[in-house]
Parts: sequence; structure tokens; C-alpha cells
Amino acid sequence: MAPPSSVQKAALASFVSITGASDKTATRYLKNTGYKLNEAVDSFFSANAGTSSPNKEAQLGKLFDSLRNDAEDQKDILGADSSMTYLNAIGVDLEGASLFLAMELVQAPTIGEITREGFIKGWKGQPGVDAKIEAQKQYFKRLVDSLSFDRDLFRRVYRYAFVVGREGDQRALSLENSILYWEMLFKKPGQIWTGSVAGVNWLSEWITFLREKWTRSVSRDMWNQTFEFATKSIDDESLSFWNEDGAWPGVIDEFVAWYREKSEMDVDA
Amino acid sequence: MAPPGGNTDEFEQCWEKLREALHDIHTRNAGNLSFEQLYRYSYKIVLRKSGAKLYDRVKQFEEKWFADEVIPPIRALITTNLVNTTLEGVPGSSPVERRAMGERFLKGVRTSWENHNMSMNMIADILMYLERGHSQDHSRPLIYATTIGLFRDHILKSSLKENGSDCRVFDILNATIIDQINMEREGDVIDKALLRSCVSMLEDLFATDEENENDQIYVTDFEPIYLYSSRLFYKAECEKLIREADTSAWLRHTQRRLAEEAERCQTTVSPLTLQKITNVVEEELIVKHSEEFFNLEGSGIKAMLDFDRSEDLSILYQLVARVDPKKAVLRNALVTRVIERGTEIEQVLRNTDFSIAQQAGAEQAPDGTEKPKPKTLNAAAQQTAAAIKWVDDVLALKDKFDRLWSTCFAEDLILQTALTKSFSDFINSFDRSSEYVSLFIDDNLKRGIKGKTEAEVDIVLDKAITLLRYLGEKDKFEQYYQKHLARRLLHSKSESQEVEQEMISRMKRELGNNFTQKFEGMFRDMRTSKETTEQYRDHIRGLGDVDERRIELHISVLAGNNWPKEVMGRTGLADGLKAKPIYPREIQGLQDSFFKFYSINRNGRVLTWLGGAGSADIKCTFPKIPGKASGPLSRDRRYEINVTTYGMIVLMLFNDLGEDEWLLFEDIEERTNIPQPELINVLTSLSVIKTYRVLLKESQTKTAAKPGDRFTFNREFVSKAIKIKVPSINAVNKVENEEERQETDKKNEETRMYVTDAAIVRIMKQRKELGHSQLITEVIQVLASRFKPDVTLIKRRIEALIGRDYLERSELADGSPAYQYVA
Repeated sequence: MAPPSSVQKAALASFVSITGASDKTATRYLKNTGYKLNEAVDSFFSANAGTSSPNKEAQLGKLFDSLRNDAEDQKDILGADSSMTYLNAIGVDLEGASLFLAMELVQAPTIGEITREGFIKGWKGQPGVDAKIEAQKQYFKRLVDSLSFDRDLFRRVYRYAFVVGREGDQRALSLENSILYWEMLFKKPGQIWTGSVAGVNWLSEWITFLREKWTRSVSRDMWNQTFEFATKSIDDESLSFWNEDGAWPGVIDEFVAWYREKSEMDVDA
Repeated sequence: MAPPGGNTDEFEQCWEKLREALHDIHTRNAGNLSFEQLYRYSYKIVLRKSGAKLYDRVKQFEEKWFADEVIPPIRALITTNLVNTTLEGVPGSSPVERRAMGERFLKGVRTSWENHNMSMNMIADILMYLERGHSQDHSRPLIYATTIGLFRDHILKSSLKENGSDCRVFDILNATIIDQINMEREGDVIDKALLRSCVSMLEDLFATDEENENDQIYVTDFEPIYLYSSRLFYKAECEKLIREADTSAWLRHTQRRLAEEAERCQTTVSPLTLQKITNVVEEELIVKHSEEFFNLEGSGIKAMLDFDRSEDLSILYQLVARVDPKKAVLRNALVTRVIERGTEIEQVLRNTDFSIAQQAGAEQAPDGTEKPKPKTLNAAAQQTAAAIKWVDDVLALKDKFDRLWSTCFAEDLILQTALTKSFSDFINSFDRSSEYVSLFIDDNLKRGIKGKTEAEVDIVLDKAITLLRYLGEKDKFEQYYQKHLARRLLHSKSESQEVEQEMISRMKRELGNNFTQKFEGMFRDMRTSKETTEQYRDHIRGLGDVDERRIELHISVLAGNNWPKEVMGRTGLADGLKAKPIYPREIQGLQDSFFKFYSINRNGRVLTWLGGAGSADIKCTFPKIPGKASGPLSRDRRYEINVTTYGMIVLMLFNDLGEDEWLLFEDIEERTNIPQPELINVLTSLSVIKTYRVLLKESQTKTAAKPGDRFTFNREFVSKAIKIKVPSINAVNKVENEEERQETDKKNEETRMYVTDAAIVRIMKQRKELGHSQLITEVIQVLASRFKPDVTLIKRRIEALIGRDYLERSELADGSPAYQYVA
């Protein structure tokens, strides 16, 4: 791709200043119209009128305000109580994967805290959802239902659980919290961590193993790799995907060794 | 092709002449024949285009001649007895009879063959024109080939039905030859020339009249049977050997058999068979049972190695090398034995009590102190004794195998590699090898090389380097060497500066500059310190104010990185202040004065005084004891006592002490701030052993000093020597040694962690993205010169680096796991 000429650069700058869109979007619109600034801006606004009109943002802002409790909450943050009330209202199960789904949706910094920015951005990004509790509730229910088969969504939610679950600015999750979160995530409506053929209860094996052998906290790497391991072990109960020379974290290597030894003993017994 | 009419008579005339000649030739009556005339007859016949007829006539004649004259005598030789003994193996005749019978038969065959062959040659000469014309007519073999072939078809391949057997003469012939050879194998003397001529007959005959090079009857018919029967023979022989003989006999026997068979091929059978028969012997006598023989108790390879039976081993090597270029059996046996012996060395070491000096040499402990009780060695000395024994044993073992390798194993490269690996394996499986190698060098550099010639010292250094090469954990060795070198340098224990340097430069050659950097730094520090000390003396002299009670200062300025932590203070330099001992005023003045001098040229440097690393000579006066009129106690006694720096601090406390005043352990501890373990050592060394009892301990027990004890100045101290060197005692030695070792291990572990981290980051920084297994391989390569990192450690470090955001996981194009460097 040839570098843009100075005329094109100027058009790009103007486009960005008018629409507030990213450089990338701007380039795309400008290219489509052969760098005719006016046409490009027009087409940008007509295309984005439906989804990201300032109108919707305002509506979401209003909804956010209505959820706030003036007495307790700061201006741009829903505190614990207000958050819980809201989550209940849109049908979040506080003891299951849907909690993390909701947290991911509004990019909550911690459990029990929702920011205005996250709320507006998060909901604005979901197409065709009105800024009303009822609409959100219905939409959320559909999202929850898709958790069990939409692996990318589930992975996103799973990974976010680590971010939102950390205490303060800790780099790692405590083992107890991790186990709690795993139990919340690896059950319905999330993906259940059991073998798909013989039905090995991996989750319970994993937790037993950690309780017996693991004394340290859970790093982000371990958290994320546990997900990859879980996904694979659901499909392949013999764990043939695992091998010693692989890049699995040490804890997974140990788990596999522990599990195999244990299964052998079971067979002998 | 019918001959043209009218020529028939002429043909018949010519043929008649020829026929007569043929008869004469066969009856050895050819002296009067005119070959020229005969040649013309055949020439004439061929010219008249009757060659084919002649050909047939000759063939007919020969067939008849065979049937009438040649076969019967041979048949006569084939007695039922011969058939029975050779083919059926029916016993009943004595070997002598059997041999004679066989020889008779063979001779008969030979004679008739020789006659036939000679006749055929002559006949071929007569019929030369016929043979030449043959080149135009390829449908038939040469007349010579055909007639020679008659021998094959009519004699060798003729059936023996009339003798009541369905085999052929040929079978009898083969069996007889083989029977004769087996007799020779059993030790009989046979007619080799006879056999050789029978065999060469088989070589001269071809399976078909076309006489293809590869179709010698010898190759097609005789050789397979010969090889098969030889195999049976050697198979049985080897089984007998297993039952009856030992390995040594087997080796020699096999070697002899191989030589015999090679010779037999030259003299009796055919050289064509040499390789094949050799293979048979090798397979039957060596390959199939070598492991059984190797493992024989008492004479097997283990015994050979243990008792240096080099002749046996040489044969063994030669035999094994014949059958297996990889020498797997020998190699495995060597590896096993080396590792067994290595493990034995370790076990012997563990079961040996080094607490009692075993040789006069071992009595002088590494600290060079005279022993309080000369019969027992302190823990450190025991370690040294053990180390030296270990090194000696290992090197003796190595020498032994090296010797065997060069004298018996033809300096075989494969075996060398295997030996090197097995030595390295057992040396590295012993967890103290690094320490022991360093101790060995330490001991030699301190006293071992005393009075040795340059060549002898060279040998010692060679030994050290040899072992060093085997060590897998070079980083651990480095730490020990640093520790031991520090002790030698600071306590001036080194026997020869030159040899020290030589050792270092050899290590440098072997392991690279990096490895010896710290050691060289230590030597540099010592050199500069010497200069600094002199400069300081000059400086003080220059100040002019000479103090009567001036204290001589000899200083060693040590750069923090080069020296081991043990020297730089148990707690390390960082919190050295906490453990800073309180020096007496006089000493403090001296320290200040030196520091002022030192700072003139070196601004901003910090000096920390290491009380644990130095020593002091103290001139003590013990006043005469009132009331004693005679004996040493009646006079003032002056001694020069050499103690550690801590010892000096403690002793100086007693300067100000009045008579009958005692100092409590805790008081001393408080007033000196010497770390408790060190203080225990100092007080014990000054109060427990009689020769050095400058202080009196309240409880006159021989136990180590402990908190709660009280001490006072021993006014009645007497010593024969004026100069006394108080040994430093490690009262809590044993436990501490164990602790120290764990400490070293732990430190090593940590260092390895950092080194591994650094290696990973360096590689990733350069490569940006790298597959998991590649990264592991590269890290191992980078670290191999220092130690053998295990994969688990590398993986753990990778995880730690991911946790610290140096790396992140990624995937290569083929989906295999990889890492990316995070800038």
C-alpha cells in the first residue's frame, strides 16, 4: 500500500476531527469515497446513526443514573449494593458463570463495582438492545445460554474472571478464590469440565490435586492455561494431547502425573 | 544338417583315425600320435561341413568311454560302508579306518579326474579347428566343455541306485571331503593336498556347459553344504564350550578356530570361501553366545577387567570388533563395570571412618594445625582425607581403564566415548564430587606438592583437570574452589604462588575466561593489598610520629564480587553492619588511620572490616607468679600468640581486667558484638586445649564454651614455644559443615535460577518469538558449560518470566506452543 499523500493526510485529519472516529475507520471511509471528505463524513454518520448515536449513549447514561443510589455511590460508579440490585434485575446468577459474563460485559474493575464508562461502552457494543432493564435482561439471558457452546465467549469470560477476581492489585489469585471461581465457571450454564466419553470429573480431580499438592497462589498464566487444559481434557480423556516436552506449566505436568498414578492405583485395587 | 553325399566315406575314414587317437589318449598311449595329422583330420571334417557330426561322435565316444572305463572303478570305491559312514553317519568303523576309506575314494576320484582332464585337453587340441568353428555356431557348448561336463554328469551326478541308496556320487564326495575336514578339526592329520585337488576339481567344473563364471560346482553345490555342516560343527562345539570351558578358554579357542579356518581355505578348501566360513565361525562361536561367556562368573568380562587380564581382553576386543562394529556387548559391559566400580568407591568412602588418621600424611589437617589429639581428625580434615581417597580411587580406576583401552582395545573411539560417559555419569551421580575435586586441589596446593619436582606437580595438576572435565556441575565446583582459594590466600596457606597460577591458567584453557574471572580477581586483590600495605607503612613512617605501641597492619582489601560469601561475612555485606564487631580502641585508631590513607586516592570507597577473615600476632606478657621461686612461673614470660582477629578482640578485653576478675560469656558477647557461633569457637580454642589455654574457663570441662561460662586470664600459662599459633576450632563443626553444604547448595540453586532466567531472556530478546522445544534446547546449550539444567527448572523459570511479563505464550504457524518476548 502506497503511503498516503499529504492531501490524503489532511483529509484524514479533518475526518477524524469531525467524527471522532479512529484513524483506521477514517481511512476506510475515505478510501470508499475516493478521499472526498464530505461524502465520507456523510456516509460515516448515516452508517453509525443506528448503533452509536449520541442518543443511545444518553439513554444508557440515564439508565445508569437511575441505578445509582445517591446516598452511597460516587457519581460514575455503582457501589456493591447498587451493582447487586442491577445484576439481579437483569437476571444474573451471582453464584455462577453468568456473574463473570456480566462483569466482562461491563468491564467491571472488581466484583461489585460497575463504572459508568464500562456500562455505557459495554451495552452500546451489543447490537439492538434498548437501554432498558427488561431488554437487557432478555438479551443477557440469550448470552448466558450461548456460554455452553460459544467457546470464544466462554474463554473471554473465563479470562476476565481472573482480572475481576483479583484482590486489590495482586498479581495472582489466591488458591481458595481460584477454586471457588473454577467451581462457578465449570458448571452450567458455563462449560462443564468433565470428560465427554467416560465422564471423568476433571474439575473435582483438579481441585483435589490442588488441595493436596499445591500451596501457592494461581498466576495469570496458570489460570489461563488451566482453561486450555480443561478444554482439551473434555475432548480427550486419555490426556494424549499432553506430553512431557510440551509447554504446559509445571502444575499441569504434576497434575497429569498425579492423576495417572492415582488411576493406576485404582486399577490395581 | 546332413553331410553332402560322397563325403561320407571320407568322414568315416577321418573319424576312424580320430577315434583311434582318442582311445590312445585315454589309455595313456598317445606318445606315437601325430597331433598335426590328427588336427588335419578334424580340419578336413569341419571343412566338409561335417563338424556337427564329429561333435556328436566325439561326445558319443566319450560317453561310452565313461560308462565302460571310468565309472566302474569309481563305483567300486563307493562301498556300502563308505556310504553309510559318510552320509548316514552310521558308526561302526574306527576313525582311522574311516579316514583311510575316505582317502581311497578321494584319490580314486582325483586320479580319474586328472586323467580325464588331461585327455580332454589333448583332445581339445586335436579338435581345435572344430572348437574354432564353434564360434559361428552358438547352439552348442564347446566340445571341451561338453566333454569335461561329462565328468560332472556321468560321474558326480550319477545316481547310486545300485548301491541301494538314492543319492549321487557327488553327495558321497562332498560328505567325504567334509568328513575329512571335520577329522582335521578334531585334531587328525589329513592329506590336505588330496582334498585341495578334489576341491579344485569342483572349482574347475561348472554347473552347466556354458561355464558361467559364477556357476562353479564348488560354489553352487559344494560350498553351501560345507558351510552348513561347519555351522553344525561349531554350534555343537560352542555348546560344549559353554558347558565345559571358561571365558578365557573360549576366547583362545575361538581365536584359534578363526585362524585355522583361514588357513584351511588356503591349503585345503578354496580361498573363495574364506569370508563365508569366517562368518559362520563368528556367528556360531562369538555372536550367539558372547553374552553368556561375558557374564561367566570368575572368568567373564568382569573378572578380566578386575584382574587386568589384558591378553584375554585384547582377544575379546578383536573378536567383538569382528562381529559388531558398534561393539555393543563389550561397550555395555564396560559401562556397567565402570559404574559399578564407581559406586563401590562411593560406598567404601561412606563406610570408611576417617576420624582416625590413617596415614601420617593425613594428620596435618588442611588448616595446617597441629592436632590437639593427634589421633583424631577434625571434621574438615576428615572431609579432606575422604576427598583425597575418593580422587585417588577414581583416578586409579580411570588409569586402569585408560590402560586397558590403549593396550587391549586398540584405542577404539566408540569405547572411549562410552568410557568417558560412564565415568562422567558416576562421578556426577555422587553429590560431593565438585567439593571433593576442589578439596583435592586445595590439599595439594597447601602441602601435597611440597618437595615435589615440576614433573610431579604437573601430574597432580593433570589429575585435577582430568576430573574437572568430568564434572557436570561446574558452577558448584567454582563455588567450592572460590571458598578454598580464599582460605588459602587469606591464611597464606598456599605452598606455591606459581602452581596456583598454573592451576588457574589450566582451568582457563579448559573452561574459558569466564570461569576463572573471580579467581583471578582474588589474586589481583591479594597483589594490590600487598602494595597497599607497603604504601601504608611508608605513609605512616612519613608521618614521623613513631609510636612505641604501634601496631603492624597487614591488610587485604577484597573486592566484594570476587570473594565467597563465607569470607565476606556470614550475613553478607548488605547487613554487615548488624554483625559488626566492636574493635578495641587501639585497633579502631588503626582502622581509621588506614581508611584515611586509603581514601586519599580512592574517593567514595567503603571498607568493611571482616573480623572473621584475619588474624593477629599478639605479644603477651605473663607476669611472674608471686611466691614461686623456681620453675618458669617464677619469671615473666613473653609469648607471641597468633590468633584470629576475633581472638584478638576477645583477648584484649582481658588486658584491663584485674586479678581474680572474671568475664561472663554474655558480657564478652555484648562488649565485642562477635556473632555467637564465632565467639564460641574463639573462646573454645583459647580455653579448652591445654597447649593454648591462655584463658581459664570456669567449668574446667573439656566441652565447648557456651553462654553462661565465665572466663579469666590464665596467669599460670606456660608454653615451651615462644611463638604459639592458636588453631581456629570449629566447636560446632559437624553440624555446621552439613549446614554449610546445604547453604552452598541453596545458593547454587539460586544462582542457577538467575543464570537460567538470564539465558532465557537473552535468547528471547534476540529471537522475539521461539517455539517451546527450541527454547528449551537453546537454553540447555547455553548453560551446558556451567551445569546440566533440567527441563523442569527451565520450565519453571519460563513460567516465572511469564508471570513477570517478560514473555507471553503464543503459537507457531503449525500450532505448536511458543513464547514471545515482551519488550
